[in-house]
Amino acid sequence: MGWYIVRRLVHAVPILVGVTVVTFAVLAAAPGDPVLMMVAPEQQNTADLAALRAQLGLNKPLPVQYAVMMTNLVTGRLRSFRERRPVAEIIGGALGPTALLAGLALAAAAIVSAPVALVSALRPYSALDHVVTMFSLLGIALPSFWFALVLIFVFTDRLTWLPASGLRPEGVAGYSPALVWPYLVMPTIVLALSILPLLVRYARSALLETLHEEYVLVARAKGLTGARVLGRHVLRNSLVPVVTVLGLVIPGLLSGALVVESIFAIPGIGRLTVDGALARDYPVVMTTTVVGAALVIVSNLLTDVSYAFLDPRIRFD
Amino acid sequence: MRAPGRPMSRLTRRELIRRQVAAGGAAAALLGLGAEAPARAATAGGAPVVLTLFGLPTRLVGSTEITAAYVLLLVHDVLARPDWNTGTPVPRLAERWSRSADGRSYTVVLRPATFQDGRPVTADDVKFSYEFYLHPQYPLADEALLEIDGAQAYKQGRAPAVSGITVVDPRTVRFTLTRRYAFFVEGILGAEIMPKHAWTGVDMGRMLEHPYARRPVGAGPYRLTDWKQNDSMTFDAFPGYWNGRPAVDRAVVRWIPEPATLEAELRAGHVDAAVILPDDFPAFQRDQRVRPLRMTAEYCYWFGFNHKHPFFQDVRVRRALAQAVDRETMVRTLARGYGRTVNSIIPPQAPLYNASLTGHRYDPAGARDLLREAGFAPGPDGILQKDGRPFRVRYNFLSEKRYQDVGLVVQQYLRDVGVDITLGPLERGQFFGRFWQPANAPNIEMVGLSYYVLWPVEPLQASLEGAFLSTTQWARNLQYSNPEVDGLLREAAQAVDAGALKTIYYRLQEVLVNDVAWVVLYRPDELWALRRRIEPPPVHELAQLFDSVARWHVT
Repeated sequence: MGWYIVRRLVHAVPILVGVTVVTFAVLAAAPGDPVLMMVAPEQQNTADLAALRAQLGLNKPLPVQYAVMMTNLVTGRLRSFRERRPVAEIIGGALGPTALLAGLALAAAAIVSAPVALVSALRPYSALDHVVTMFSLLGIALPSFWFALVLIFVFTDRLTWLPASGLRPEGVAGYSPALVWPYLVMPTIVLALSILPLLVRYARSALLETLHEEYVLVARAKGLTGARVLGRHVLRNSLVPVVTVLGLVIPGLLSGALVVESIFAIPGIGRLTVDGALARDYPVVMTTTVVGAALVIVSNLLTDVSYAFLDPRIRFD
Repeated sequence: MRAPGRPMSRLTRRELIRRQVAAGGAAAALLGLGAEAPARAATAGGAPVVLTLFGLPTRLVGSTEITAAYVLLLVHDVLARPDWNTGTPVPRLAERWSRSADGRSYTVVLRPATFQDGRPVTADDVKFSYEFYLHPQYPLADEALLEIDGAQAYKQGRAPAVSGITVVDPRTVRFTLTRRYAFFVEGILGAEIMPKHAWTGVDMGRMLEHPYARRPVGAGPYRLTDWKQNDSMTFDAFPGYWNGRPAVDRAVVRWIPEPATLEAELRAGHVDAAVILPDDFPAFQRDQRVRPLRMTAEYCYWFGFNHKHPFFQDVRVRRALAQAVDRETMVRTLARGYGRTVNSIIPPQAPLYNASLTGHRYDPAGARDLLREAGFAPGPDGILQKDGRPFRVRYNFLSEKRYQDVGLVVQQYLRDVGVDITLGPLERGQFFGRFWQPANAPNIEMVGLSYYVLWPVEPLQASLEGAFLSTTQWARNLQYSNPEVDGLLREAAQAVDAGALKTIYYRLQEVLVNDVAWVVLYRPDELWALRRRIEPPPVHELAQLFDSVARWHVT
């Protein structure tokens, strides 16, 4: 197993290099000039644009720019064009809010989806199952931004129970749970509901399939209680497809749920990436892209490794 | 299978429920559930005042971001600035100044003032600040500052210092100019004063990496104490401010991108001041929790032409298109009545705005007559033609809803007089990176945009030159060159007194209207709402609102 993980991580290196090459090529080809984006149009007449380009290294040939950018990226010295701060510092500041929100949403979705899927699978095609199916489809169909605005209208505008923006009160550093929890309620619900229907559907399907396996029939025939059959034979064997879905969902959550971050004014990775792209802040875009790619790689690896724990028949050479 | 020796547990329903409730209560206590939603962190004197902006600056030094200009009004101060309402010079860090008989030399005496770190503001700091802004590696070049004697040589690296700035004594500094300059106060005395002791020795090529670049020390009423990227900036009152301790102890500037969220937060009391969409403003006017504030925006909408395009070279065609557009109706429909038509880019509240100009009245019949005179005749499809060429042009604009709305309306009006324009929205990077460049000028046909004039923070002369002086980028983009306009701008820069300047500027605005350099459409209102606990002094523009924070009355 250990060597398998090491091999996968080694394979990740050329993948990440490829990501940086493609990203750089796209950035270079895209219309727009980072320097012109930094200087207000009314001031471009008097600004020393050539000096700005030289400061940012944009006057060098593209291969040189790429090499310098990669060297700085790897050594942590890459700086944002706009802020001239280390990109690692900028992304570090944005990663916290995104990770917090994504973690809570994932936990909420997992906690809710498990019993809902179980009940739905144990009573297939019943009225309860149909209700669950209907809400799942509704959850997939409804746009998250609409739902977010409805929550804000009800809980902030009308009831004034919850704040609708930010992650903490003004002037507060850190993320003390006692102070932060009101800010997380609505964004977490919206983000969780964006993945909950998917988890419910996949979990239900996996549970249904497992419940009809012969070994489950044998277990019941041996006289095991329903709870024991579920706990020892059904749940674990149903987790493989659910873990697969989680592995696909997690990178997207951690890359930043842009809609949720924009509506709730959460300074996360999603907004940072889009702002960086619109402003042609190449270092920020490159770094967030690499981070996103790394998340996908790690997530896939964790998913594959978890298979071995869930199903002892699976072994990695 | 039970482990040996352990008795079988007998969990009753009552015990199960008891344990669940206990567990739930413990979890709730851990998470602080049941506690009241936390109030904003209070400071001495009350809760912080929370303002919002349409974005936060990414940098504060060498920045042209409009948001940076607003927040720097809290942190820094200047030697003098024109009054927001009358344009009369108002001393700030300068106590007084006198002009020499030849009009080329100004002696400025500083008032006793300190920076936010307690060090006094001295003449050395003044000289340092101007040399900072004129440094060869400072990315921007302020045309007004280049009027100082020796500034050009210093900027080009040919001199070690700006010879025209002389420290007479710790409280007195003399500015010697290359010529008489009408905009000494707004153009030269309006530069922010930086502390020499904080910035001495900085590598100007890496000035943004200096610690004070993100924690500036100024002589203004507030100190920036916290900056959470893409989220908020916190400003704490500077008790030693020369104009008295600010009334508001702490001001927080936040960025909330979604308008619906912003308005909900304002109603709920989580923010104290926010911009309101025109559609929603009537509701806020009726809401007793807030105080509506209607200001004038610092920009105006306009559209323009490539003045070398065969169709647009004829001034009759340009006048026709200006007359074809009903600007009053545009204000009523696009701005919901919150705005006014203007005939100049100069803000209407500025004393130099020519209010007597009538501009181009909406007259589609007159527009058709002018186009006929210019040699156009309707084609079989109703589109005007000249020499077999239909009057079809591209109208490009930034791909933002407000510009698209303006473009759609202009398209309809021009269609009514037989001119067919094809709308071409362009993403911001594409627009400013490729389209709106002098090299692309021959390919530009029509353009729709807005123009910011941040008077009195920035001098009008710079704004006018930036737009219409034939050698500047914007004029070159539209291939606009009018010798009379160039001459008037040069004359204005050398005007001796306010009366002469007014005459020149009034004439300039007349020429620009008659020549239809641009078709200036309208200036929308800047609609804000403040919580009732906030009472600002009378203000009429957003920059003035930020400048007044220190004087807000908060209950």
